[in-house]
Amino acid sequence: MALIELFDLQKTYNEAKIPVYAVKGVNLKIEKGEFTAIVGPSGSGKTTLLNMIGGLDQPTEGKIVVDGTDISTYKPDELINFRLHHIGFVFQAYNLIPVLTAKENVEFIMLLQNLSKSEREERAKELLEAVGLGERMNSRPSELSGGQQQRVAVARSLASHPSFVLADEPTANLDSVTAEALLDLMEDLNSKFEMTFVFSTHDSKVIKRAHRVVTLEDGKIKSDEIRKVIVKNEG
Amino acid sequence: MIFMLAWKNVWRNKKRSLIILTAIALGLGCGLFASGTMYGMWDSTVNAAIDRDLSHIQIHSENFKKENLIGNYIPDGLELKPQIEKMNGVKAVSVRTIIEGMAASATSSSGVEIKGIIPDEEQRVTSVAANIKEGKYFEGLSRNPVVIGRELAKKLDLKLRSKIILSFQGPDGNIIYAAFRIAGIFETESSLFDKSNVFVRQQDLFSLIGSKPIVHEIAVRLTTVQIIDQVVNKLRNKYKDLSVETWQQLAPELSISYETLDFELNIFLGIILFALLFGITNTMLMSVVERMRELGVLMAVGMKRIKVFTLIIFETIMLSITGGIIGMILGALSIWITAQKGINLSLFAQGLSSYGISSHLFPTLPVSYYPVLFIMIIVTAVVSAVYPAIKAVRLNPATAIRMY
Amino acid sequence: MGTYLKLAWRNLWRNRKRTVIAASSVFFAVFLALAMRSMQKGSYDFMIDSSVRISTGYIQVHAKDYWDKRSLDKSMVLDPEVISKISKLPDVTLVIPRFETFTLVSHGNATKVSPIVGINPDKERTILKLQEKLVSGKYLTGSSKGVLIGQGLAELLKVGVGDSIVLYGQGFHAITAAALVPVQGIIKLPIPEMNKTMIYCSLSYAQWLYSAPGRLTSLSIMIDRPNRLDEVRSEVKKFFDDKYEVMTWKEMTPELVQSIEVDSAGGIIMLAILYIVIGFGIFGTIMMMTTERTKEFGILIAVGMKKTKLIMVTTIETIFISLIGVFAGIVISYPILLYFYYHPIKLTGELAEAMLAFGVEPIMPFSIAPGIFIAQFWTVLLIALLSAWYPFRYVHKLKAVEAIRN
Repeated sequence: MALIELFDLQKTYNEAKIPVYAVKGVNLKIEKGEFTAIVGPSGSGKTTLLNMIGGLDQPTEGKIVVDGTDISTYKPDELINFRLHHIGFVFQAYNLIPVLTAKENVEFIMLLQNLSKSEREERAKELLEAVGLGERMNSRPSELSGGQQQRVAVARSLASHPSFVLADEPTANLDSVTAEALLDLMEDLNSKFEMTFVFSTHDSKVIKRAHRVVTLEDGKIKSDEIRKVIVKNEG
Repeated sequence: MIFMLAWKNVWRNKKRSLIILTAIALGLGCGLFASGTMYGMWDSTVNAAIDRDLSHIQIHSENFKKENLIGNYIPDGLELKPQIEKMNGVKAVSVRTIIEGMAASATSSSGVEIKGIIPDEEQRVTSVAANIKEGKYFEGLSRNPVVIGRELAKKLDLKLRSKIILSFQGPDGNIIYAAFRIAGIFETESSLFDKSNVFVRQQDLFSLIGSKPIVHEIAVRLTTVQIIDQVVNKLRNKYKDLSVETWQQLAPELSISYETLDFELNIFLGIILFALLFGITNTMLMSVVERMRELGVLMAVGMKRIKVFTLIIFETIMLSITGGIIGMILGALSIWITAQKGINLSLFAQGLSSYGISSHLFPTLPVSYYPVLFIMIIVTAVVSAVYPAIKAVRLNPATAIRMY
Repeated sequence: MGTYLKLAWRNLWRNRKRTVIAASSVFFAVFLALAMRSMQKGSYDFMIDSSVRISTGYIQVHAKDYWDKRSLDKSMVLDPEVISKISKLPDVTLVIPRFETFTLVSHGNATKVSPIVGINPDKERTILKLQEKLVSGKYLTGSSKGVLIGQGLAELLKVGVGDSIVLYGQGFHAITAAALVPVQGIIKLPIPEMNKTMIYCSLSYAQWLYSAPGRLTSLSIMIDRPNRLDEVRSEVKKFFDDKYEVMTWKEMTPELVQSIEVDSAGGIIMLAILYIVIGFGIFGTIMMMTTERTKEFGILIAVGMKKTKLIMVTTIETIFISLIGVFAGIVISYPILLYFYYHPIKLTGELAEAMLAFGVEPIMPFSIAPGIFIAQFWTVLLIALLSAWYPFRYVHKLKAVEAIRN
């Protein structure tokens, strides 16, 4: 069974009583350990699709199965809980909590999961070291560069032991050098921990680095190109 | 950590938080001080009334309370005195013979209460002797000296050493007339008291009415007012046939004025808190609107709505409590400082003295006021936070992240 | 100017939510200040009205020095024609002749000192309203030769209707006044002190008993518009020479005036504290409204709007918002206060019972005097306009480039 399975996914918005189809029947399977980019021009339904995969939005028709659980019929509060335990998020604008330090930002997710203080601190340290910010743990977001903030965001997304990380245009606010470094980091985490990444992007350089590229157009999958087959690491 | 996050969020927009904080602190601080001043006014009024004539406890015969007639004396009243004096906590006892009558001069007359006292003993229970402004306390005259209030002297056109005619009904029903001479004129905080009381020596009264010594009132002063309930209970058990009353029961108008004051101050504080409530809601609303995206992210990464709600409530409570504590410190401090020397209100003295209010007051506030106010602030904060918090949890995280 | 006004007005409606929030903070300020002042003012009016009704009337005429001495020797004889002329003066609703003094009253072994008041029974029907307070017996007529006594006094003396009591006192020119008088009625007076002492009789009987035919101790004058007090007094004064005194309730009961002043001083202090709180509230709101618009201001300046013009527009906006808030406050408060003016809040519980026992009606009265509306209008408007200083400074210091980048 794949990690993420989408069956006939549809999303319509009712605007002025005329239904607008944002996503028109998408079928997609994403396996554990994939490093997948979802691309497409604006208005292609990319964001809506990503929101539904991330449990932020719900389909009008069809099914989303994540880790064997059908989340398409979840109530909002069940979705929040599901997101907390199964999905890591990285946003375009970093979106760290400005009043908390890097370490506290990472810890916060684990606090929501009711982990003990020692557990939280240890893991936050590990993760920040893993993203190369072991030295900046007690800095506030405002004291960090954009690239550093996005690294903290990546560390935060991994804190909850998610099934996969969803990154919405993670490099859009970064210059190309920093963007490459962030992709290096994500790819590294992908191969080391078999962490699944699903990200949306516009950037052709980023698209080049993806192992699989799903192209959306007009709410449908236009192409699905697998560039690198995952070697399953059994046991 | 949610506490820490809330606390840090409070200080994100320092200017905004400081403004509402100052409003809370000043509103409560000034409010407390104003309340303290008014309670202080009431306190000094009560103390003045106790010192003037009430004393702490009074004993009468049951009938005297109803009819106030000369025949309603306390049986063997004089013998009670040494017994009561021996009781624990009793500082002094004065036995009074009280007769209603008329005081007349050559030009006018007025209804008065004639109080027959033993001057030395009365002096230890009340402050009439200390309030003598002209002449001396029963000194300088050998026959029928009387001490009257300034108001009565003015009304009857009497001066020191003037003759005054007291008339009243004797025990046998006959009207008795007697001439007294004014030995002293007193002036207290209460013009009503000064207008309606004359003090004479008990022995002079007894010889006038030609009866055995009779007393209608036993006034008891305690070493401290705290033990009043114990002493009253003991007295009630001992003298079951007599009416034993505390000063509160003797002067119900004082407790009315206290309750009215309490009522007015509560309304005042309520209005202040209501005004603050609106300011706090406004502040928190702005704070939430400003952070829409951040709150959306918190919910996107898995923070439950109830936790976001709690976060906003905590922030509001912390903001309000900080202001509240500063306000309470301000209030307590200003009360404490002014209480050292008191506040003199003699500008308004005439209006005050008609109420028997002392013009020199010492602000005070019952300690129990502070915890109650503290709880009220928390309640206000929670009520103010509800709307902003609802607004926060109504966010759709997906749109909040994109739109704000 | 017209363009600025138009621009400011449009800005208000472009962001309605902001306008509503800011105007409502002004509105609440007006509303709370009005409610507080209305209650304070209402309670003073209530104090004055009850005092004037029970005791003095708005204006009294006596012989010179009567008020100080209260002696029957200072009683007076008034020309009936003067009395009727006074009663025809504008604003005068009633003139009430009274004859008051003290007497010893006894029955059996019991003796009390009581005030005795000779009244005109017909006129007092609307003033003292003793006929409503009658427990037993009959109300007085102009020629009654009996007395009405308080219920408490009746119990003390152990008398009922039809029994006779002895009155004993000093009449005009110190002539002894003594009589055996039948109790014609027993009345229940709300104030315990009065209930235990008061005696009422007809004016003519009192004049006879105290050997003072045709004499009065006071002539009370009731008026319908208390704010015309001084004018009426000077009209009345024209009828009398310096052998008489014409006093207003303010002179007769200075302690009432001053206790109201003391209370009012306390009230004004409380009002000031309220203003501090709402002042900060308004200022905070205006401040936030301004900082929120940093980017907008920056763009306007960048595209070439002069700062002075921008300041003008924002100041006009603040004035508009304040005016909306203040008018809304008055328009909405007025009917509410009007309702409470006619239906004062009734107090309940221990306090109410205690007040009732003292003859004070346990209500919380409100005032709708125009003065309090005018005062609150200007004060809150002033506070709001002072807050306009913030956007003024803010725009003045604004750097367009930075503002846009934010």
